[in-house]
Amino acid sequence: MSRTSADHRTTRLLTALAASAATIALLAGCTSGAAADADAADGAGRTVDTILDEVTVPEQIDAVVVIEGRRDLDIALALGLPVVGFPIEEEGALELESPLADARAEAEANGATGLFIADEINIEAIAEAAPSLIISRSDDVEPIFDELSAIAPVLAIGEQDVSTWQDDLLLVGEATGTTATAEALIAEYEARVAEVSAGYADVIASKLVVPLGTDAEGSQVRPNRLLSTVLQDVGAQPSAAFAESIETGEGVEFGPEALLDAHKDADGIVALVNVADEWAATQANPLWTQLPAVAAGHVVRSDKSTHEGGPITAMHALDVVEALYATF
Amino acid sequence: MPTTSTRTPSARRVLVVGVLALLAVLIVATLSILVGTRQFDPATVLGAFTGTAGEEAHAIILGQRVPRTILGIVGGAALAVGGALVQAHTRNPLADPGLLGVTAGSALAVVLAISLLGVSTPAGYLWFAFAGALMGTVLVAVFGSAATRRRDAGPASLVLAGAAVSALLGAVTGVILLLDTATLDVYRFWTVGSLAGGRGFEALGVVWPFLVLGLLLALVQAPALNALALGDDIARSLGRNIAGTRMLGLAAIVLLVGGAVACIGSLGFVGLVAPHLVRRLCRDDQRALVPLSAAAGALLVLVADIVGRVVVAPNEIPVGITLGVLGGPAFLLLVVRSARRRSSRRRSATPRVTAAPRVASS
Repeated sequence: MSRTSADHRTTRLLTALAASAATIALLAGCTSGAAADADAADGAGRTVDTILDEVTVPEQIDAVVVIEGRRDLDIALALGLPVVGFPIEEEGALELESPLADARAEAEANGATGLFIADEINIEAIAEAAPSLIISRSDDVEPIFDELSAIAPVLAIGEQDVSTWQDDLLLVGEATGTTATAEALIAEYEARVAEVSAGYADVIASKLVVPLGTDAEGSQVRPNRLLSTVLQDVGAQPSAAFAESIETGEGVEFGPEALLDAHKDADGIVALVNVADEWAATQANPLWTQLPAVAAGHVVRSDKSTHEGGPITAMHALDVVEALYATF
Repeated sequence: MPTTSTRTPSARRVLVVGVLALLAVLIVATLSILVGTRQFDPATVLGAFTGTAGEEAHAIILGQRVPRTILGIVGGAALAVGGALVQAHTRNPLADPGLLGVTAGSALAVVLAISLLGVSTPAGYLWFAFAGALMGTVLVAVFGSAATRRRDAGPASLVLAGAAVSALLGAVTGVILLLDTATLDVYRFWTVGSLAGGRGFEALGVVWPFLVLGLLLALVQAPALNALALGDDIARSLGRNIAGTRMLGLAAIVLLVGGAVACIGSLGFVGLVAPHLVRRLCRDDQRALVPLSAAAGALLVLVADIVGRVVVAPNEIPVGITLGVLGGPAFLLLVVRSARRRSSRRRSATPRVTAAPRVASS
């Protein structure tokens, strides 16, 4: 082998190495450029303050997972967000149809699916759904905030004792660029409240009402359940038990013997009973039938699906409230 | 370890204690009808029986207080006798019906009934509670016998089999409840145990023959249990049929506990504590212990129920919770006092000895 040819080969090798290095450097440069673009996109996301932390939500939201399944699901569905996963609802858990049934069915038709049993959060299932945003009640996400944040931004919202559904709707709207829709939903609710208030003004002003949970163990009234707040929104006159719960901000409970004594002042009752057997037992209870509101037929039934929710459930609760006033 | 002594109480003493216990049950039962979250004067309460009281008093006194009082007496007595039988058969003073798979079997069957068939009232899951109790006990008896390769399962193998079967059935129940929180809502009333609203009274109308039969079986086998307390070999040498006694005992336990939990739920603690409350009075003679345990169980449940109705009025605390809160410390006190008594007896019975020579370690 001649020296010249060896030099040429060395030169070609060095040239090739230099070219390779340049190519790698160029590719590396391109990659960091892409990363910089992505960062720029993230930087352009929407940043909001939540009850837990400040969170930046990407502008483009392709998939949303909700974890609690009531207020969070209601808000996500009402805002038309692309929900891909939610907690599994048990078959036959409640006798009455859920206010979210139609909206959830539509989401399921679009590919949304139950990821885990309610209250049994499965982080792997959430990761598998590859969400671009996770929405849930703060109590549920706080203990696993870091794990969830590694999957997607976590938008923590409140619950009945922490914040109103309107606050949370506006928060999610701001974070997802759907503020206009959120405001329209609130305006729609307020218009309906005004309509019911005006339509039944005399009855609302003169009749005492109570949203009453009842079972074999007794009865209870809670001031911050969604149905309770809807009653307050339309200007309902609370019975003594309801007024006490509003005043204290806490629920009041009564044993089975106190059913008549505690609620005999109520002219109208929204009975919150979950299952058919319990409803049959309630209706067979002589203390229940002696309640003036029951004797006069001023009773409508709902269940725990109206305890918590967002705009869809609130509109449903308004229907229940209107149905009660329509009995007078 | 035998839980009984060979001393037997005099018939007169037993009679006096029995009459006093009965009187105590009557007094507390009357109190249970007089006292509640809604206050009525005695005349109104009496009027509810004669039809002169108002509709509300009538509905509360006759519709709730009387049924819950009867349920408390019957359920408490049945659970206590069941506990006394379990303690005698296993020769374990800390045994209760839960130890032989009765409660775990009942719980699983009730959960299956609620979950698969949507049953949600005591009358609805009555037969499931019974069948489950039977299933649990049979499993324990079969595994207990298999473990000893004898026809009659020994106390230790019964306890071990009971623990294993209860754990297994409990795990299945847990899985179902985990997957179905709606069932959990109904089940928690059953598992805590409650007399509220007298909702189990309808079930009592069906199960009372089983409870009576269980009680009769318990009374009939009480003399055999005294022999069993001396150990299987001695009992056999005294002419007792160990296998027969044990099977009869298991049948009585199933009838009593299955019937009770169908009516008032899975009330813990009664079967464990009630026999201990009367053990000293009857000096462990099962012929007296069985009926006196019944009275103690009834008293225990009634008192806990009254307390639960009064302390947070106008709300109520389920009797199962009150029993746990009151019964736990009371039982601990009982255990400590009993241990001190045994230790002082042992000291007085041991002859005084001089100090043993100390052995120096090399």
